[in-house]
Amino acid sequence: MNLDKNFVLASHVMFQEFDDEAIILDIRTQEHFGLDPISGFFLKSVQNGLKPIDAYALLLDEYDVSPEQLKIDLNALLNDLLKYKLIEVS
Amino acid sequence: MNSTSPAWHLLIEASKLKPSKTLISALFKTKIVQEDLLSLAIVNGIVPVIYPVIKNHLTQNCNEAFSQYIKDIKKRNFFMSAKLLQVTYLLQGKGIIVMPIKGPLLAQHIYHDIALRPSSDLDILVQQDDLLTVAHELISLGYKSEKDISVFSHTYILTKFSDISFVHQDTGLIIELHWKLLKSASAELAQISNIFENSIDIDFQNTSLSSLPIEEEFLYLCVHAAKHRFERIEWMNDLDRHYELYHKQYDWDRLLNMAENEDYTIPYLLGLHILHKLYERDIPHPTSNQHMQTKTIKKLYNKVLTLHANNYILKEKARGIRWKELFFSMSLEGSLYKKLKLFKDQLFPLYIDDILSMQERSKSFYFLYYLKRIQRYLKL
Repeated sequence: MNLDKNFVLASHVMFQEFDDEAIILDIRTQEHFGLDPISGFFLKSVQNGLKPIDAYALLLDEYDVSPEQLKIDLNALLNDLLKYKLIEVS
Repeated sequence: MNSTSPAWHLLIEASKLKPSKTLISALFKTKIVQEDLLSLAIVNGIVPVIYPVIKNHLTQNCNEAFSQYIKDIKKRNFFMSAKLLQVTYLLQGKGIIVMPIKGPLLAQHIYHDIALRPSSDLDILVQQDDLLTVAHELISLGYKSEKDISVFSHTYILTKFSDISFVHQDTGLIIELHWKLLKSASAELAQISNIFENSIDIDFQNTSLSSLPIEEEFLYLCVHAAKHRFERIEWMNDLDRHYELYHKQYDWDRLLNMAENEDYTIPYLLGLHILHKLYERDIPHPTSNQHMQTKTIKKLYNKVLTLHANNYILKEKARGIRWKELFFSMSLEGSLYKKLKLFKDQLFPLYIDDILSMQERSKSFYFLYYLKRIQRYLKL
């Protein structure tokens, strides 16, 4: 379960929240991914030093979402980010 | 006399670090066409800076238009910053330090936010010895040089010119590769290795990039803005933000000496005069303060205001030689020799292709090069 681990953004990554989406970008390849606002909020929290599991709890407070579905989605997000080497286990 | 419009005064006031809410409210009560305000703010490069200050006065439609423009700028600057970092990382890996000038780094440096100063291209300064390597690396990233990169081995071209553009083949992004900070610099500002040695580090997107030393940067901003006749409020704002950040640290004697040694005294004093008149800055250096009140500087300042009063920046520019711009540029030069040289260079410009085509001929035919320049002028 990825939510139990700690992550940091990789040093070659830029991340920015915009009004309607967030973008995470690999500086070396310029490959970038658009994230929905919930994923953006989650990643911003992780970037600010929050543990994923705490960011998850924060999201449950902020958004009207199913806890189980959110957990599945965030785990999938972390898997994708790890796969593309955009985050690292700290 | 010039008569700058209430809209222009509004843009200036809203650009300030401590804008007067009373004045802004009063200006909105004049005949300001809100739809025109956005166009004027766009061409002046100041939409993200002024929007938070004026948004409560805007109609819903205008609010949406400003807001959408800012969103676009924020994304564009984000991607430009990414491109800048891609280049700097790649070159750092080869042991080459580049120094971004203007663009996103300046936005981060003096506005503390890359989204607050729109950028249209990237400018990077490198040391002359690194030019070829940098050019090859840019090409490897998908950029194409406007000239064959063999020009970087051409001493005469390196002496006469200061930069060459590279265009990204997919995105169209332009990177201007500079080996001189200013084309006409001949003293301290021409010593690029010293500039690199004295560079300062700026935090940028979780890394650190080299930036111009503070006095060099201030003088550069004055000269660059004056070269473009301070046509954009953005360039005045740059000076004001830089001044706000560093005026207590400036070595004022060094600044003035550097300006004098480079023959950039007039652009420098004009920059200070603008800061004093439009941004209510009290220049704490008595000699600079005295010199910036001369007739020449006041006259140039009035010319800048006249340009703004006539909304020159919104007008379509004539092709060929723009005489008013030429005479303004000539008045920035300190010596008659430099004025005449500028006049000659504008009338009969020298292009890199001229040099390349002449080198194919024997030296006895070099006089043709002057004929070519005259022929080009007559065709205009």
